[in-house]
Amino acid sequence: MSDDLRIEPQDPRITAALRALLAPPADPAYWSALETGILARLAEDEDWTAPFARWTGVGLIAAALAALVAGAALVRSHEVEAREMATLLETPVSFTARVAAEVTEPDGREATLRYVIEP
Amino acid sequence: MIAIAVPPSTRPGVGGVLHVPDDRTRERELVVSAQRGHREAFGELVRTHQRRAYAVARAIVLDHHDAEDAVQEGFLHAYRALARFRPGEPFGAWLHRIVANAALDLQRRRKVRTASVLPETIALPFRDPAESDELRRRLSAALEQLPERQRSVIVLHDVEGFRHSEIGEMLGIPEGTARSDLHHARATLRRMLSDTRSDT
Repeated sequence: MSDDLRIEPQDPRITAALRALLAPPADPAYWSALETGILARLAEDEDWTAPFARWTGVGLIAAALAALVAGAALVRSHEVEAREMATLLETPVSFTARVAAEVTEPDGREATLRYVIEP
Repeated sequence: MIAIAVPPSTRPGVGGVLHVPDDRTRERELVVSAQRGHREAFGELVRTHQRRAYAVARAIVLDHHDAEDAVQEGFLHAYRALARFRPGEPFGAWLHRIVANAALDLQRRRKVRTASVLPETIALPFRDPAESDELRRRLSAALEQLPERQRSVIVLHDVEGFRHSEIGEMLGIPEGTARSDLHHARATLRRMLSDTRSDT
């Protein structure tokens, strides 16, 4: 390999020994067993997570329903508020209420004038 | 049931990339089928890639049983993450990264134990028993002395034939670091085994 030019060359004796030492099992039965083991673990994993997956689905549906209910309630409360406001605006304010408002909420300049004039 | 027929298993080429176009198409079909929840299709992917996945794991953890655990963990993670895999990409390379991560994780948790005794089923080339025993024993000891990353790199490159770029991706290191690790690993092993009895 050209990109290996500056690298310490391979020692065929060591490489052969490494291959022998770390060679994967040659018996096909071993691989069949490993495959079976892997697929069994997948099945176990799915069995274990399946209830959670179902709960997740149920949870999502419940959350969507809750959001819908909350939205509907919000719209309804806005409607009620608007209706109350309209009623309030349409109702004529009585004379006593107007006087009471004037008395309880004097304007700042008038209050200062009163303070200066009054003994 | 999956609709596609399952031909005999094929061994992936170097780096886990299937070189025959038919194999690539077949692999893509299997991935898509597995993504749709067909476990038989995933089983076929396991059959095709487990030997190479084992080699990747063994290069990192050295111990046979740890390598087996890492392969199982790797396939489990791959299955869970399958929805995120894009079928056009090479499945082998993606799987090897996952298996390498599982092996590195296992290694971090357990730390490296002594290289295990080889299973009886492993076919070894014929050599003078005395020489081969001594070299094997000393090689096992020398591998233990190598820094973990250098050891993984030399096995993945010299034994498994992965390219530096592939090794870099698997181990999460730059390509240049993989090259440098290979250089140091080869030099160290040569030095440590220089006085071992030779064939000649």
